[in-house]
Amino acid sequence: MFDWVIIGAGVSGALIAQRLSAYPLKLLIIEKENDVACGATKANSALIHAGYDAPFDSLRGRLNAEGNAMYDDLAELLKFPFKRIGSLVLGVGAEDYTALTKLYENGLKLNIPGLKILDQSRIHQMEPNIDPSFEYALYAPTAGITEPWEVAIAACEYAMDQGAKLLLNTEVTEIVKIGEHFIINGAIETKGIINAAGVHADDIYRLIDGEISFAISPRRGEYFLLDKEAGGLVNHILFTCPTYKGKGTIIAPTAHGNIIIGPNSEKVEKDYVNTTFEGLHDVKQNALKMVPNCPLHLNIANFSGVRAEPSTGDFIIEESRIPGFINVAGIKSPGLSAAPAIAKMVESIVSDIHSRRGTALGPMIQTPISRRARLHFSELSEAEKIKAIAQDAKHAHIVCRCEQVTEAEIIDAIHRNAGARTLNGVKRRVRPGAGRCQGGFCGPKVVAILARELGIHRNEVEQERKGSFVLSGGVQDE
Amino acid sequence: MNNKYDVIVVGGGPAGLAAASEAAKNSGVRVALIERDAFLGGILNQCIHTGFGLHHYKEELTGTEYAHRGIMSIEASSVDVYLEAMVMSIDEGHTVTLISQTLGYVKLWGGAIILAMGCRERARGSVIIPGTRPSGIFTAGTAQRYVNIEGDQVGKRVFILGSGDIGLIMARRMTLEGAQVLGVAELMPFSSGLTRNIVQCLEDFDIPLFLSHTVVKIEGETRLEQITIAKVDADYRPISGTEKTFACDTLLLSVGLIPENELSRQMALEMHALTRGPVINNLMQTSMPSVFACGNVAQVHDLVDHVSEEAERAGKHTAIFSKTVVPMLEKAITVETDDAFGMVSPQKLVRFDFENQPLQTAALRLRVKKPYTSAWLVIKSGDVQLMRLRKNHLTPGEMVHIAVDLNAMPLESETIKVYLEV
Amino acid sequence: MKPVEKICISCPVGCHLSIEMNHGELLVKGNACPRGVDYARIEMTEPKRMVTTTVALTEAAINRLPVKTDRPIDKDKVIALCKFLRTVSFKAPIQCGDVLITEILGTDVNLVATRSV
Repeated sequence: MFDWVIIGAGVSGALIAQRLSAYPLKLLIIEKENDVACGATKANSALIHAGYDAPFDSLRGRLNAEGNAMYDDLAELLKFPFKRIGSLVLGVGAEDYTALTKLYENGLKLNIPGLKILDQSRIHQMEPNIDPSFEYALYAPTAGITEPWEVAIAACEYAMDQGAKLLLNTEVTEIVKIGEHFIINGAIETKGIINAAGVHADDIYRLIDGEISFAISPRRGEYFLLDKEAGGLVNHILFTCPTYKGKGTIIAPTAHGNIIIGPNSEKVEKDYVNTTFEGLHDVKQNALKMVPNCPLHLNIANFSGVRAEPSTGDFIIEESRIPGFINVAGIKSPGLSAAPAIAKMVESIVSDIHSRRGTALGPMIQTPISRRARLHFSELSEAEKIKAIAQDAKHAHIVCRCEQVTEAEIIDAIHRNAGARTLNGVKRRVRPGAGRCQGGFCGPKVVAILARELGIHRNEVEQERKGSFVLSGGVQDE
Repeated sequence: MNNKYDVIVVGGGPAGLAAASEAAKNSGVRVALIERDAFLGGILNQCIHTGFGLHHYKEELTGTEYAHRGIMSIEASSVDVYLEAMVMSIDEGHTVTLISQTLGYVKLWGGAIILAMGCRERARGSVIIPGTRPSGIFTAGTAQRYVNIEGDQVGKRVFILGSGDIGLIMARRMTLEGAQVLGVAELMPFSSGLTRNIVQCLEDFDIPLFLSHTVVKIEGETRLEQITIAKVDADYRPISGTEKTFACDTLLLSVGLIPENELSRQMALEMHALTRGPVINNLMQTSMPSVFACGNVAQVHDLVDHVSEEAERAGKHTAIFSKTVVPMLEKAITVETDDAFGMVSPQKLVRFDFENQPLQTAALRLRVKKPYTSAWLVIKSGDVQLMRLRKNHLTPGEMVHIAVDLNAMPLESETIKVYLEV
Repeated sequence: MKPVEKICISCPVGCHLSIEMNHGELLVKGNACPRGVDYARIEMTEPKRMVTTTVALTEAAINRLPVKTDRPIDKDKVIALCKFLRTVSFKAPIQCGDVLITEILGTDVNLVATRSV
């Protein structure tokens, strides 16, 4: 019998698990995909918004502001990359100025630190490549960039290091309530459920409550990812005014020095993560309006992600009508920014439920001061590299040329808790294949390492989702 | 271990093999050859097909046989070979830091460095094909490695985008491995592959070639399930209504090669916009005097024979350079081209070698952007015509080779320009 | 008789041949060298192709040994040959140029290793 089952190992579910893992609870995370962080968490703008955008009186506004402020400590605890590089909302004309002022005032109500409206000379000094027509910008110094999947992976790993369990490849298809307890898929017994199932949160809740009052309609965003050669194109996260034609498109550096451009926003079917000519064309046009010399020929990958748009317009984070069943649904933008605060809010809901039941949540157990950081060989000094090789000779095998990833880094990524099981799982964690050749050189090597470390045949190695086999059978197979 | 060399060659493919063995022919020149793989030979190890060596060895060899000859000459030489060793950086044009699986973190010093890292394939991102991101999409060279080296089967129903030689060779290869190749689509109205490859790789097996077509859609949630191709207009935009779908589990991309220039960029060598490799002169010297480049790292070649020839030149001049106390510093002539050309190499011409011996001619290689049955190549310095020659059957798939008479260059000319007149 | 258009595949030049049979006499135009005439004759009567592929390899650092036919084999035997070669296996060490199988599939063609392992 588990105390809490968390459905969905995206960034919300993972951070909730990480927070609850500090208590003496039996926790289980259930994920339908073959890895954690496979939904909206793996494909989004990778930004930590400052928090001036969502209305000050909404849950989104409050949790964005609070979540942003929590990122420094969280990055230190979970050892994921995070840089506060600041954001600029660019504007031109009187209409934009009014819009920027509204954002500024909304931000003030949420106590967003350091907000300023900057003049033309200042913004062009800060961003020499933007279109000369931009006249002013709302500057938010606390906006930051991170690796969203690494946040979720790190949080799951941390929770598992504290004893939480992770069940992959398991779609929740049945939830039955018997007395005070739930039985999931006829086999998993738990005292409580936290539904963090992203675009499927409504489907999950419907399993237990036929009169569900909300719906999730996914919106797709398409992106370009530019080669590191384009690094330095922009120094901050660039938005355009909500009134601007190119609304919604962002140009920003990534945590590893690439440039990300996107998204557009289109209503789609759930899990429909494809890119389209039209969508990419729109993103491209919007990008060129912001940065006319944007080197789109340095594109190394296009991708799309879905965000969970709730019918209510705001995050749904509450204990449902079914006691012991908590919904964490409709976590659209700024979900990643708000995630630490969402987890904290869920912790307090969990605590209330425990008090009600007369089984207090505390006391907290002794937890490590931080997750064991990944050793990124390419970022080491010469002396550290020599030491790393002396400690593990597999650091002398550079598997990926583009990103300088060693075999030892890949083996570690596979064998940690919530470890990599697929080619892309390895790529997300330690980056072989994330560079300009997109795995052309290292792909066969990573396939061999995965097969060896997981004790499976090469033909069983998957690229991404269940069944996405890289190879198609032995050469002599007719 | 003596880590001081006269010449260090980075990359043990055809360019590195030829450059290292040529440099080592000079007595007293100590040469190191560094290769990231466990074997010398580079990409030739997966080129099991014939078509190599007709110029260099005057007989037709497979890629592996061609590599074998280069490896034999290295083994018979005094060259020190570092295998499974990745060069991490080159500092001040002399200090090479490498990480070797057997030796660990190693620093070598070279009087001169030859860059011979070859090229890499352009991936899906560089052509922007909308759709999902299933498994089963490979660059042709990666698929070739899986099939020919690892012995894997990459797919059973295959479509190929790009009709360059690698794409054509893989169409035949996959067929011989028992897969069904449904077709090859080519964006341009012509194939950039050799005509004989169209005959023996496609026509022999009744594989259709769709010229002026591209892949417009990729479908499949896990493994690739279906692709859609469409005809393109003169601006390479897909024409609505011309779509054809193919149910397939594999898509091979043969959409171009780009010089592998991580190290060149790290060293801030002057790069050339057309070749995407370092700017080089006819002695294969880059903008950093002690650093040379040859083979596909300097520009993508279509025949390995030319790579070897060029690399031998690099090896020869580098050996001299490494033994020359004061390297000659001569003002070079810049070579420019008109819009008809997509590539020119070298981009600088000098009249004297490092021993100050006058050079008579310089080999110039050019690539046209589209085919011409016949045209004039005209070289001018300002308005003065220096050379004019007729060339037949110009195609983007085959570089044009001309020997430029260096004595005909006016001494005062700083730039010469190559024009194509139809 | 109308001339037949063929592309010579003897070398990478790829000459466009125009081949005419005139009372049993072969007339070839468009060839840059004498190999074009030989190619035309064979292509018109019994077309042949070089075959390169790989075979299974044991006791070596790599899994596959690249091989070739030492001369062109009848075009209609190419697929059968590749099928057959999927059933054979060789043991290292092998030298580049070693003859692995003689008179393969009853032809006068031998199978040769194209890499040393």
